[in-house]
Amino acid sequence: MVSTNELKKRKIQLVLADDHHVVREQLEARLRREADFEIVGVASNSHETWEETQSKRPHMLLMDPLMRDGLGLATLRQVRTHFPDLVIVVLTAYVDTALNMQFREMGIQSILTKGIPSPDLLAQLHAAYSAVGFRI
Amino acid sequence: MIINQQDFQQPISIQWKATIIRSIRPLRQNYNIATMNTYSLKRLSLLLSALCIGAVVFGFTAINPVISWAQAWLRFGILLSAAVGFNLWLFRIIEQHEAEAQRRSEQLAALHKAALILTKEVDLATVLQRVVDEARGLAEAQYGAVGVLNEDGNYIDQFITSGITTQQRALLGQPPRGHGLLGVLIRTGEPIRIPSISEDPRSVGFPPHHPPMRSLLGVPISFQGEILGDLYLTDKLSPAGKVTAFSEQDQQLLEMFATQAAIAIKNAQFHRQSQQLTLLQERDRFGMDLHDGVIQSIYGIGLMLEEAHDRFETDAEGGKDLVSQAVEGLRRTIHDIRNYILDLRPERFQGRDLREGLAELAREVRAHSFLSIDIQVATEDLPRLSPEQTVEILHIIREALTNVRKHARASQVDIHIGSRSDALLLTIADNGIGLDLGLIDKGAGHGLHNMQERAQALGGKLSFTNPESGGTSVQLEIPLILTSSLQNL
Repeated sequence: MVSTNELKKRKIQLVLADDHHVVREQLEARLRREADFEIVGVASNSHETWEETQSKRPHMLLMDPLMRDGLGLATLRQVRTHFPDLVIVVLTAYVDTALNMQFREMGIQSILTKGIPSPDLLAQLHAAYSAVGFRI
Repeated sequence: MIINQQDFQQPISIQWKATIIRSIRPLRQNYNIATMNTYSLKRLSLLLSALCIGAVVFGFTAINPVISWAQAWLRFGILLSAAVGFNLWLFRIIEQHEAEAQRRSEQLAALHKAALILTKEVDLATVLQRVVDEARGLAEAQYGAVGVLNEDGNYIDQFITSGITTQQRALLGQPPRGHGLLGVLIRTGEPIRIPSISEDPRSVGFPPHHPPMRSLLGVPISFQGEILGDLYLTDKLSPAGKVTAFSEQDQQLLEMFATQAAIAIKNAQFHRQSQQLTLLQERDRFGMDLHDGVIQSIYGIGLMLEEAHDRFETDAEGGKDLVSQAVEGLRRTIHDIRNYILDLRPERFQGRDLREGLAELAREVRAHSFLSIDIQVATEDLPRLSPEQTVEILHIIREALTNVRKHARASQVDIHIGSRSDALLLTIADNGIGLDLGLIDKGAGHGLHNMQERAQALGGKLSFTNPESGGTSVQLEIPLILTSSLQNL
């Protein structure tokens, strides 16, 4: 059991996975400036995403699953199955209705689109984390 | 007696011979009385009357010597003029009816023409303008308007006019909302026909600058019980150009026209909806294409600028450096967008053979969906295809896969490629809910249409089936005669 207070004090350990290098580097820089977040791993493809998540066991995975290697979605599903408690936030450029529904079926509630202002992104990450925190 | 008869037969036959021949001529030319024109009928009728009266009067005189010939002629004259008078009176009535029938048939022809004009338009605004223009012409009204109701059907949302100039319209300001007489039609849904607007108690009067209007005719435009709008005409013009009241016939005609107008308006509305749907489908497609490049880049640059903004206070040099990077990034993005607009990423399939193209498609499907995709190539040597054929085939497969991804709710899709000596055979089968085959006949779905067109361009055959095992199967057969003959050259 983790109390709400402890959750607030604890840094959110996060793995960032995006195969677009500018986005990845800039998001990393932005999140490193936030005191509440601790980036424990960065992945630039599907394989690295799986490796980082498995070895670092973060609280949260922030991922763009539409990866050019074509395996991002499969990886996401695998991660979901193996780590049901992991908070997953999808941040991608475009999600059509069919895909959106499938994300939700997998229990991923936070689906954000690229273009979201950074303060909003941080607020959403916090919200996604505490929503799961209360359920524990 | 016989001698006497011969005596008087001579002058009669001389007198009437020419007339009889003249009258018989149209009869001989046109044996059927039903199709004779009124003028011939009139002459025939006058001739027969004269003959009958003559036969009776003179026949009676011949067998009755007491009556003198002078008296006979007098009686003949009186009876004949009575008969002529009766005939003329009768034929005047017939001619009036004929003129009326003629007018009605002309109106019906005009109605038909007006309805035809409507069917040529699919743009809603144009259809509405045509409706009111044609209606005005049909009933010979000086002014016309069509009011489109809001969604709840209780007030006028759009008001399209005909017969008043743009300047007049501008002076009037806001269109009517339907408080007065126009509203009566909206509330009751029944046609309204009024000889004088100002004398009607339900009228609320005209706003300033409104042209004076006297007679009014209004009918609802309804489609399957739903009132789409109302059609109003004012100031019926007589042939002399004077304002008169609308007639019962005008109302009937306008009601008939409103039925046609309703279909045209509904058609235009459906057309607009289907275009919006196509646009949405296109947007999905473009969205996916844009994902990999442009949006990512711009988002990255945005993050870069945020970083620069934060850094300026502590590390001005670092901030400047980031801004230059952002500018360079934008330049590259503009280049990408330009390429995208110019060629819609044709390089995706260009220069690839079918096998490579399929691998690329499979990668794309895996990247954008949870579908599991399996490709089987049954022949050792794929027939040689031209680059154009390859690109077209890959586009068809891509379209089919997009359909599976979006509509089939499938988890697995199998692509099978085989060949005969004269054709390439391709099957794309999924395990989803199955395509409603009726959609193909209805021509629905931009994607299906697109696939059919591409297949036709290749001289090939595209068919859709729902196998018993479930899902949808798309078969494509491309004849190879052209390519093989080219190879032999």
